[in-house]
Amino acid sequence: MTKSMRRKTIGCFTILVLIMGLAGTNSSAAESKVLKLGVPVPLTGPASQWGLSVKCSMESLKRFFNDRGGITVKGQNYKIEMYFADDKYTAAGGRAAVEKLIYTDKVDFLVGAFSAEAISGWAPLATKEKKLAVIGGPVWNPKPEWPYLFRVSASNDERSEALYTLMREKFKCKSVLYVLADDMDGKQVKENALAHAKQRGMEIKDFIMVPPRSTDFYPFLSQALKSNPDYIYCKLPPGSVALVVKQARELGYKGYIANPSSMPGDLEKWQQIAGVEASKGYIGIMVSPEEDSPLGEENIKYFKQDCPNFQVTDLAYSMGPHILLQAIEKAQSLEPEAILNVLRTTEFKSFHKIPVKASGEKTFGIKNHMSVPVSFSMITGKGQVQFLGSFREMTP
Amino acid sequence: MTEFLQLGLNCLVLSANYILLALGLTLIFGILRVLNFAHGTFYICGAYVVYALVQWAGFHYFTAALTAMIVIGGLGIFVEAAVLYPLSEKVKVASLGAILGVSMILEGTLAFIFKGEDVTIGSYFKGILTIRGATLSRERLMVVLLCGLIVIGLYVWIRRTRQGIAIRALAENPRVAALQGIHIRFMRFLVMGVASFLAAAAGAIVTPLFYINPYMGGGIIFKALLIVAVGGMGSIEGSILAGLLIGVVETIGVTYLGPVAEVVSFLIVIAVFLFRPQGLLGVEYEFH
Repeated sequence: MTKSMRRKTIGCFTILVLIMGLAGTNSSAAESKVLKLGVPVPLTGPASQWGLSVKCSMESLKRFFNDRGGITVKGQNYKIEMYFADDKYTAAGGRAAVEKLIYTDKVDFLVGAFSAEAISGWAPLATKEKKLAVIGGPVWNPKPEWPYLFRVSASNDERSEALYTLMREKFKCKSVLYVLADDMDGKQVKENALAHAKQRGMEIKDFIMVPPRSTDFYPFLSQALKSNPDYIYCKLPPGSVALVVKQARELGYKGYIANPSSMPGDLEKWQQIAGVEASKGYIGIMVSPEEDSPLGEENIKYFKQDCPNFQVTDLAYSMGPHILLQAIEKAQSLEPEAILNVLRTTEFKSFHKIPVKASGEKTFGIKNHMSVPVSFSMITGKGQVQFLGSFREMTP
Repeated sequence: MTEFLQLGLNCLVLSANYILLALGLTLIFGILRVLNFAHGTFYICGAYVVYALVQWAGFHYFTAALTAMIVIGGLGIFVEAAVLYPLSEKVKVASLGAILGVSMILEGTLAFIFKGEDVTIGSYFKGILTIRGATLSRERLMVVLLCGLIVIGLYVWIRRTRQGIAIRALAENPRVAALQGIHIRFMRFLVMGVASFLAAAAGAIVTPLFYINPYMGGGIIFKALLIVAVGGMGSIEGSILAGLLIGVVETIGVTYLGPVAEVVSFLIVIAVFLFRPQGLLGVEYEFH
């Protein structure tokens, strides 16, 4: 090949590549845009068990929406894309994760976060950058100074209120012993319990505040159980709750043990820690399949395919982003203020038969809050639960 | 009476595990002059080997526990040969950094394999003993007995055997020990192996009692370091005494004071350091 022929060949090839590139750009412009959702959750460390469930449920949610053609805003179609960052379940980790999501990944919205510590680390940044964040988790109440944070989840207070009603009315309990983590979460529950003790008509026997990842509860329980409470309100990470159940039974406690948090994802593995016999009568949050809406049933199908290693109850983590995407379509806007307005005023389809609507102001004075119904179930045997009832918008 | 008996039993369980964990750490410090930050991870690794053998391979608990101790003992020797020994002539910070790295690699590997979930093998010794109204489950009794046996075995080995005398000589003065014909490299391997064996034993013993998680090592090493420091770095008897002391103080504190107990433990630690900076039974050491 001569020099001039080589030049001509290279020239033609370059022109061809340029034409193909331009054609590609034109065709993609006509196609969907991408709506980026950033998910700051713990992907390493002790809380990664929850973070990995959130991650999987988000991937499943993405497939659910994209299979239906994504969402459409003012005629423009958007496919959903998820970006994940490890918040390490700490304030500093949360801040670093959200900085990465906002400045590097350039996400449009934040979803899925549930750790109070981590959220408190990045809430000011989300506010400064006007990034609407739809969070979950019962602990961190969206405060007026962080107007771009909106929670879709029953708050701690609402969950507790539902549990008190259940224990008082169904099991005729009159006294309670609290076993709580000595952290932000536990302190909030204690504060709330003390503030509303009279209205609830529940005698508080004691508060046992334990270091967050405790394993030996004998010293705590052997003294406290002498007061013989009708039930133990235990709010700790799943493994620690299992040990409280096991050790309380060993110490001869025969009453109920309840936790206003989700029933453990892998119930049989959890029962291996607690003991099958000891765990009978344990009460936790778990929706009965009969309570699922058609939307919930459809999402469960996706979740089962995408997340075979997780329990269906973990699907609840994707409820917030699901409602955010519905709100964007209803608002026909990507502007945070417009979406927030829809979130605060409109009723949404949920995975539960009962539709959901922002109710925070009415219940506990929190404007950016949408409660979801709280359903309790009780363990009756190995891997077996009995549905007890659903509660919503609970006030003291 | 029942109350004090229950308190005593609770103290025993906590102290037994603390002592077993701290002994390995103090042994390593005494000979290798390294703060083995991977000791807590070895503890968790031991527990996970038991879990994997029982759950996946159907081993009996005792066979699994013994296998775990041997495997982790071997892992300790490998870490000494591949990481610590080559760095033993360098500044101590290099060894510290390297051992922290080992700890992180092991932790990450566990998290990758076992997914960061809380798991257990479940109760192996079912049943409750009631002694004058105080309650002790059979598995807790097993923890105390097994820990006691291992501690006595270690004590006899250190005090009554030629290897034990060599280890003590090495701890006192490595140069003089070498001049007496003690094979320093072999003794280092031996000590690392035994210490890792002890860490795995502590992990294996509590696996049926509690749950395990790949990230538990950090908290455990912190407590073990505290006990070793209070007892005196490198002192076997000191670690036993400090393990008992911290176990008793924590149990009594938690029972009567709740979370404030942690503060009481630290006050005692500070008091010990104020009056005996070298620890209860320790000698003054140099740390470069």
